[in-house]
Amino acid sequence: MINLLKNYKKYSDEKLVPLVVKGNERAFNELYSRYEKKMYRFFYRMLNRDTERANDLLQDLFIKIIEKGDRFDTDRKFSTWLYAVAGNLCKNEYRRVERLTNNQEKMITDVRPGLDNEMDFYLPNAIDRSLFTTRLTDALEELEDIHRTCFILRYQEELSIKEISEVMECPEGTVKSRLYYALRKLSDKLQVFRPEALKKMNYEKQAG
Amino acid sequence: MRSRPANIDRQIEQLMLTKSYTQLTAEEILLLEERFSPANYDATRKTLLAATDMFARDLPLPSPEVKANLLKVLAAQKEKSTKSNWWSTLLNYPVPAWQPALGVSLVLLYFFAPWTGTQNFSDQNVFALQEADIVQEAVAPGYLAASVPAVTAPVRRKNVGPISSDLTQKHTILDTLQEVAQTIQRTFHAVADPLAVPAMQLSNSVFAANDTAEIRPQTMEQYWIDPVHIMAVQDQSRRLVSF
Repeated sequence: MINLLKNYKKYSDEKLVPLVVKGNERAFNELYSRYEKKMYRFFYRMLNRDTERANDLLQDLFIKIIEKGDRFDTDRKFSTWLYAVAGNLCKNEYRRVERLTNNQEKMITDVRPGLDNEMDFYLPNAIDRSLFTTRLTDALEELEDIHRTCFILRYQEELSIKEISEVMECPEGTVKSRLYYALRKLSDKLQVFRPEALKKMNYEKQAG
Repeated sequence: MRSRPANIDRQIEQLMLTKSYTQLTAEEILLLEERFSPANYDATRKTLLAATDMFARDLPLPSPEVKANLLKVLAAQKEKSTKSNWWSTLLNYPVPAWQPALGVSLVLLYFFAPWTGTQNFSDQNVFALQEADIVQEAVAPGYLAASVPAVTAPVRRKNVGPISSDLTQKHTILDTLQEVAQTIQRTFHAVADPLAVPAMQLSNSVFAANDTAEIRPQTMEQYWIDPVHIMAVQDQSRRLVSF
């Protein structure tokens, strides 16, 4: 009865976790509503927009909170811990997929439209924003895991550099460096959208 | 001159999100030196803007099934938690430290209280014999040949009951009396004239038929039993017998 009167909206994440571990449904609903979309989108982006796997990992993540939330150190910030756990789930998923693809002797990237053929983007005027976005998404998927994670945590999840350093357990300088390389790499992949790059490509094509 | 690290900090990020290269001030351009050329800056800026725009627009939602599944897991967890709670409540019940400490102290006090061994001998229950034959054997020929008559006036009696059903208690008394006797015997050897030392032998069968026992002060005098030794024996015996 007392539980029904409690307003869990006022509770911090750190206070809700022990209640969730005890099976308190209202506390769980509150915590879930705070993080379901964020974490789902994180997984969605980290798993190359695979909605099914994103749902699976979201479920796995919250099962971990329910069953092993007592391992959470309440002195830490819950969201940081959550992203760290989510990042580990993604790593496990990458390993699983890698094993799977190795077994099948087939890389998933083979069936994905790659960016190797830059001539696909040769006509910049015909490329609208949605195409640019599609290519950006593909380029993002081709980044190294650590760079992609950094980039998504910073620009999608909007975590601070400090928070990302805690999630990824690395110095802040490393985070900044990874962000730099992620951005440069993406930018290089999308260079065909830059007029000067196009001119250069045209010149090289004619010369070749 | 030390080159600038290849990284992006909050300041550069803000510049990229808000200004094209041509809009930058000289000071801001200096900040970008060695990290971005004008072309790179604009390209990176475009990528960053596109990415943030994409993240803001592409907002997929999780399946409602996920929550339904999680609620089932939660219900199972609640059940598990309730079961384990019973035990943890029992095992982790917060008992103030003074309570067990007091309990232990009382037990120790009962057995080792300093005053229990210093009370007057005559006020104590004494393990001796009442209406029982004490078979005396003379260690020195001709000194003690006869049995000591049973006494009838105990200093203080502790009745176990004529037909006590508590066999454990009876046996404890008997064992203790045996020990008293042996100690008395040892005491005699230590303090008395060898010629005057009787050896007491207590018969289990005799004691089994009698439920109360004592050593009469006269007996002590008769056999030169030092009260100090008796008190020591008594103290030792009391630890062994619990009425």
